Amino acid sequence: MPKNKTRIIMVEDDEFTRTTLKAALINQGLDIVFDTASVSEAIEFSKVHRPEVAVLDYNLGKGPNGIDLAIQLRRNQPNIAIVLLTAFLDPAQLQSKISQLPEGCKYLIKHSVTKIGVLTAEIDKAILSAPNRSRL
Amino acid sequence: MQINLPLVISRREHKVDFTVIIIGIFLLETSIFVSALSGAQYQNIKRYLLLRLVHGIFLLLVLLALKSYLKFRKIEYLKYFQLVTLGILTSGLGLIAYRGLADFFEISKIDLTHNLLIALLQGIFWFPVFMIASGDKNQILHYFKSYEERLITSTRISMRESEVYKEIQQSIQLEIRNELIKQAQMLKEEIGNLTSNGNLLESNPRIQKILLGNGLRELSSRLEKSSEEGSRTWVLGQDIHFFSLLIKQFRILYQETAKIDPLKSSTYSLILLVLIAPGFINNFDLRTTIIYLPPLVLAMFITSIIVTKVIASNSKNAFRDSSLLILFLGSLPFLENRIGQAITPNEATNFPLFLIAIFLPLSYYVIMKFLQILKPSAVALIKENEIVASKALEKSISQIIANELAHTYSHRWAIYVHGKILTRLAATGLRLELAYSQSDIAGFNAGLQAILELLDNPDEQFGQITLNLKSETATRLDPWMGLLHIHTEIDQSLELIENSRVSDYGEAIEEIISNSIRHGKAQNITLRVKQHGEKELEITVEDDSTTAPPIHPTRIGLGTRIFNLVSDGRWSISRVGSSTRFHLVMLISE
Repeated sequence: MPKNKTRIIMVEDDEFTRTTLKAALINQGLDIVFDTASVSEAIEFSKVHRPEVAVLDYNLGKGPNGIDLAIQLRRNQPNIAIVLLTAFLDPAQLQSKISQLPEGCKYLIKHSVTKIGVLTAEIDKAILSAPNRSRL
Repeated sequence: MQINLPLVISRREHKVDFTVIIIGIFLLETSIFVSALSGAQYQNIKRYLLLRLVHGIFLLLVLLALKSYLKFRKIEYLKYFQLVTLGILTSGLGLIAYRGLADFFEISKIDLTHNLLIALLQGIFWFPVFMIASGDKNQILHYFKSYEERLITSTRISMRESEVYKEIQQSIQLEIRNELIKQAQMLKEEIGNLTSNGNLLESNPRIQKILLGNGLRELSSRLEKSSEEGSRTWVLGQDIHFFSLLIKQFRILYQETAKIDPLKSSTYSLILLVLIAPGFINNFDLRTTIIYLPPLVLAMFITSIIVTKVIASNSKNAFRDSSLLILFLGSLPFLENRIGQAITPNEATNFPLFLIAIFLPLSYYVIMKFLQILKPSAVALIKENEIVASKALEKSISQIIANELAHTYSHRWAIYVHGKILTRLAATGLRLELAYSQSDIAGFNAGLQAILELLDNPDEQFGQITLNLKSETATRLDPWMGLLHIHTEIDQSLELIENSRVSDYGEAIEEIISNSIRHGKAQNITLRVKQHGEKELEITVEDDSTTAPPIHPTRIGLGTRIFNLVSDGRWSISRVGSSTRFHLVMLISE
């Protein structure tokens, strides 16, 4: 379980899903410092506020996907922990996508998040495996 | 350039190129082998075949030596008489080799005078013809490439405007849509069955299982897989293999080229004369030649004139009639030979039937048809508005378009199913779980109602909103801001265009940009959109990609299919200095 007040940004284009996830994580005592559907807003926010964790949806509608965003976030902030959520279940399809993820990023199939503990555990793992985590 | 005999004796210089002459050597050896089959050589056919094989290899070595010499002397262009000199030198050496080989293989030789005449025919005519064809092959290919591009574009445009296209479009979408509705309905019924009896909260564990949406997951995976399936062939995506184009378009190409720039009647006669000359030289003495050749040549010239008249008549049956006449023309030597044999039987000139009655007319027919089609000046003259695709080509392009549409729609729907429906199912699962843990019946019920509403109309949010070009550009580019710098230059006159083609435009620019960032790791992009003619626009994107794009992709991916569909095959990608440039032209009016 991540420490309370771990500062998290969340990027999810579906509002229903975003608000549900946000409520569940807050309920677990985590600090969702910013949630948005917009990639550019997420980048701008993280440049200024340097959150510790980013929870990203893979499919963000038109434009970049969660992997594009993860790469950029890492470029701007090499120690940010990243968890990618995806609705895919087929391992073969998933593998081709997650292989492009930056080092130490974690991914989760969205359905498994119905138990919110699964997500918080994955956030924990992502923090531990993020590069240069001592600087956090 | 023309592959016309009169031009062979022009004074212009011809590029030195030996590639086609290798085929020429093979054809000459074969024709000499076949023409020598009358009578005597039958007994030694195996040894004779071996002789021609060794002789062919010897000629190839001579050509290799010649090529090396010309390269060493840095000679790149030659005049016709210089080609003749080289031709006579090659065929002269060939003659010496033949006579030596004939002794070695114990084959009876033709006499030296006849041998010299044949060598001269090869040196003066065949060698230069093949050398000229070699030198001009790039020009021929260029004209065909240009013809092919115009043909594919015009066929794609007419296909897209046709009812067939709309039917394909609708049927593919309908199939996916129906499958989605069916799966959603089943899911809704399963949830309904559980919630209609008993305690709502107690049904949570079973509802969670249903919310996995296995049927929808399977559908999404299937769509995603089929959208990612690559094709290793490039045929008809943007271009057609040269030979495939010739075969598919043969009849139309022949009619069009023959109408615009027909072969001359003298060409028909001369080619036949050159084809039968070795037979005459080998097997006829001077007296017989004087008796039999003039009436044959006269008949050939008269028939040749009739052939060109029939082609020029442009009548409905011109293709059929001229084809029959060309076959008849090619059969004249056979007819005369049979008459001659009836009057004065002679074993030496009694050619095998298959050779003179079948092989010669058919070879001649094929040669004349291809000579007409390969006349680049004629191909170049075919105007865009006159281009007509054959039924075979239309069918191929229609299949390719259907394939591109299926891939593109599968991709769009796969994204929709897993990005919207499956995501919502998972979020609902989480919301129900939270409500369950807090014994919040109202919250549980609200979550259920929300998902049931979505399952009622699962395709409702798939439809695209039509925007004007300015807004479409913004919705496609804005999400990328922050990941890279995009500079845009868009003609103001285009900004207010609003029709169904605008979303295709949007899809193209999004695909270009995602390629730039994902494959090229670009940081800066310049997008230019300009008016192109009355009904089209031109998109040019330049980026600072660190890697050059593949010039000859070996696999067709989703991006390629999108570009082909949007532009009707008119797009290209190239490396200019340290930039990658993407260029696309598309119809923007409906």
